[in-house]
Amino acid sequence: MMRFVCIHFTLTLIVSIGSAARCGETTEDQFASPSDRVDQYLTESWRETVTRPSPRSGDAEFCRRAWLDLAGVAPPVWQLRRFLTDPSSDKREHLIESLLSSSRFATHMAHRWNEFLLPAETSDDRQVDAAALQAWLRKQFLDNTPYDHLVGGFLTAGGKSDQGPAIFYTSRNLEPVKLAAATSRLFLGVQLECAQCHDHPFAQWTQDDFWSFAAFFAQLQLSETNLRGGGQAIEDRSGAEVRFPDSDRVMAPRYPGATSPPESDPTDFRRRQLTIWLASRNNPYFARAAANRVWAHLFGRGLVDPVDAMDSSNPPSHPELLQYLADYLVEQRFDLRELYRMLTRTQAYHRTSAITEGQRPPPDSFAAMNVKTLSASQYFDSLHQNVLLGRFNAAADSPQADSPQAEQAVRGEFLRRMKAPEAAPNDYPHGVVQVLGMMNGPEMLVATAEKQSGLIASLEAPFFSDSDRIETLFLACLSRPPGDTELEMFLAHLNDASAEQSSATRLSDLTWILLNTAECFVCP
Amino acid sequence: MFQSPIFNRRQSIARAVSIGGTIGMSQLLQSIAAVAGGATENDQRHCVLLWMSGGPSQLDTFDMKPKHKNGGSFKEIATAVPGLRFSEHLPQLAELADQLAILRGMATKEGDHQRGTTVMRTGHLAGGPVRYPAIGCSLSKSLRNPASKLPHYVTVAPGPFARGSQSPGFLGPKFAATSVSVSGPPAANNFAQLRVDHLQPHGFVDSERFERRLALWESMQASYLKTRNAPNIVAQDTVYRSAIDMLGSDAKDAFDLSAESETVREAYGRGTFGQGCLMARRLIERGVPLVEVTLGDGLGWDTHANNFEQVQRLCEQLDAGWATLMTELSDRGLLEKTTILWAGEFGRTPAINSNGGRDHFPQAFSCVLAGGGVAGGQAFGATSPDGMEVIEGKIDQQDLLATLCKALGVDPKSENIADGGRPIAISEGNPIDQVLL
Repeated sequence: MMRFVCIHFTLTLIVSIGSAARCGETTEDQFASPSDRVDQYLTESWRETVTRPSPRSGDAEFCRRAWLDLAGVAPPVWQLRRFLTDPSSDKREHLIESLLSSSRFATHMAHRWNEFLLPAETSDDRQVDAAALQAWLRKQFLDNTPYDHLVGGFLTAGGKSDQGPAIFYTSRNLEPVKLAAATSRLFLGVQLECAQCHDHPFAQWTQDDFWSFAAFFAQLQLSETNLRGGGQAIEDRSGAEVRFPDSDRVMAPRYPGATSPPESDPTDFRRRQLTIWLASRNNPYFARAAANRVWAHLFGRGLVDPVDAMDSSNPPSHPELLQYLADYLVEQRFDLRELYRMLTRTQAYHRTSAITEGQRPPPDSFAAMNVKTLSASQYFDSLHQNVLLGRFNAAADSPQADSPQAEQAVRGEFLRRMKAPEAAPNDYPHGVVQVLGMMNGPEMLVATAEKQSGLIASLEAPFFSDSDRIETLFLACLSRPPGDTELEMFLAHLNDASAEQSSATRLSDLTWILLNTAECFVCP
Repeated sequence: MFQSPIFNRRQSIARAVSIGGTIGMSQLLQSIAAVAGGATENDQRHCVLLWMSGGPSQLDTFDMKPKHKNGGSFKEIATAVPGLRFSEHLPQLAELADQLAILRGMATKEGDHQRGTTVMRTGHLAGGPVRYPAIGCSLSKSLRNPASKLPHYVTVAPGPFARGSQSPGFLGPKFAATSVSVSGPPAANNFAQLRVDHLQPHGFVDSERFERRLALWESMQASYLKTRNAPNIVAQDTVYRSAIDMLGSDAKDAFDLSAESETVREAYGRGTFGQGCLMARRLIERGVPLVEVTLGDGLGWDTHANNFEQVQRLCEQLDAGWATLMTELSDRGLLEKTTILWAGEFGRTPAINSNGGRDHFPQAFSCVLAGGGVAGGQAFGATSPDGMEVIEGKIDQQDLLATLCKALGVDPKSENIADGGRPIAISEGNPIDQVLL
């Protein structure tokens, strides 16, 4: 029996807010300089509360942010150096362009969506299927498939050629109830499953709505023929139906809130029927949910937060802005990359997250950049790229030390220890267990064992001064050069005569220190 | 400037321990309590979960049917409580029966290992939309002492099975159990070797070097916090400091069983379970609220064949480890603050199969509560003479967990917030007041 109480579930407010277009304005004007428009909405909101926005970030802070957000990894040291010394005034735009068009962007987006789409407790034996989904998603993002087409393709996927999305269905045992819940959270931004057990006293959607929505997933079956090949495929076969709880009432598929049934499909392919409405501009929830997710990705928090609770008891911090972003996405024919491009050009995205005087503005004011905790893979991949430099086994000088198997083993163990799929970016989701692993675990051993660490070995070159070495360490671990005081302290550590240690030992200490700082765990 | 509380504390505990050698046990414990920062304060409650992986046979342990053909080959023996009888292979526990409440009317709907484990350990069916936490995670969250240097939940040798049912679910990773694993084969003295992962700095980092690292780390943290005083940064800093405190404090000595005499170690049994029970005692002495010890590596109690041989061997370990733990806790005045639950994912079929084994049976089986808050010396509920059904005092997993909560002084209705903002009670069952003090 499900007995949980549902506290947030009304949608009326969100839908009733109309388009943000202002009187007398043509569509062309409205979308002429969208990044400025976004900043205007924010500036207006600060006027009422007398909030002072933070200044523009320095180049190093911005570079780390753009790389982690768009490529999923900290900037490589040489790229960061080049960016910092580049005198051109439009170098930030160039950086954004090159990141958005790189395959790293597609990989990172696929990784993020893979995490959203799979249940948090997806077991390890499904890794092959998860990889198939990752590959499918990556292709969509490489091709920059419009978001409505991507979701449509995802929701109607079936057959041998379309194996990637199958795990979305199989990991939920093809159960209509779970699929209805997941689909509404992901693509509509609402927790429709709250109406599974009862009508909410204040809700617009009823129990009937939920079960009629679930009926779109009633006819899923695993395609037997494909099972032996190692791949999975799903298909719709008529016959099975969803019944209203504790009754014999067969639920016909119906869009939430609609009074009449959807147009019939020639082959009674229900998921296609669903997609026609769900992934369309006629569905008021779809573009808003997508825009809100993109905003949350870049700014560390949704305009509605959490992103899957877009109901009237949880109103947006900036309702007009959210509607504007949704309209913009529709106007751009659901081109997600365009929305990323536009948002990363706002002043808001370029503000520093450092507050040097006064109170930190509230996180939902977006008057200073929010500091985002790195995901386990963002941390590991940055460590791999900038510090491990291809070495994965501290114990061995053998060729296996650098093999893909060694990499998989170290990465796999790190992710198992550290993964926190449901964590919000403004939370630090780890406890003492995970921190012990950070300080004393195998990847930190490879990073700091003086004989094996790729980075430390590279720093021992005789033409480096101590200041050069410290600077490189900072660029590799924190994506910025050291401040004056920091340089002084680190130099003192390198040259402390009271301790009898080799320079490699001292560099190992400094690496360990930087890799364990709070700064190294975040996107600034 | 950076102070070094860690190593000062280590020195003072070293002094306390060396004095302890001459001043007797109770004073030593007071020293430990004082140095560890009040972790064993009077109001600290503890819970020990004895998890029987694979599903233990109720008919060959706590609900014997010697007069029926389903009863099998084991004999029944009298216990310290007149009328309450156990298996002949639990002689030490029989002596402590006045502390035990046997729940003979357990029944769930799950006869599959994975699903049964999930139901018993979380209280909920597998596969729903909510990621329910393991009961150990919820309880350790309620019982934890924020000032303690040790983890709130330590689990000894958890099986590889049904990982989801060991996870903190929606409570988040910070409430995950700290895992003690078996490291390699038994040592020369034949005791199981237990260790906590990543509890020691890397071999080349001695304490002086570690301290030098921390000094510089500390100033980096402080300057970053000055301009980025955001919740995730503060949380990172706090958790790191707890971990560093633990590394440098006496607290982690709790994991070092070599500090115990051979006699004591022997009394618990040389295997993983016995040594795990000993570690449980050491952790409870130092204020850890929740310790879990698993018996049945993998699915050891899954006795589809040769049931009696296997159950006898498992009972020997169970009897020594559990009974010695209770006795030692009692000697230290800690048993009344410690509630013990003995359970597995389900019971075994009363009928004996053609391989001399018993199969999965969730319809009628036993669990045991003991120690603090528990009205011992009784059996609650009963099964039919053939053991096939519960005829009295039928309870389910929710009732069991609610009873455990209440014995520990935790309101089973206390709520935690799940993903998406839903408040969810630890347990919605009905506590069995007859077995509670």
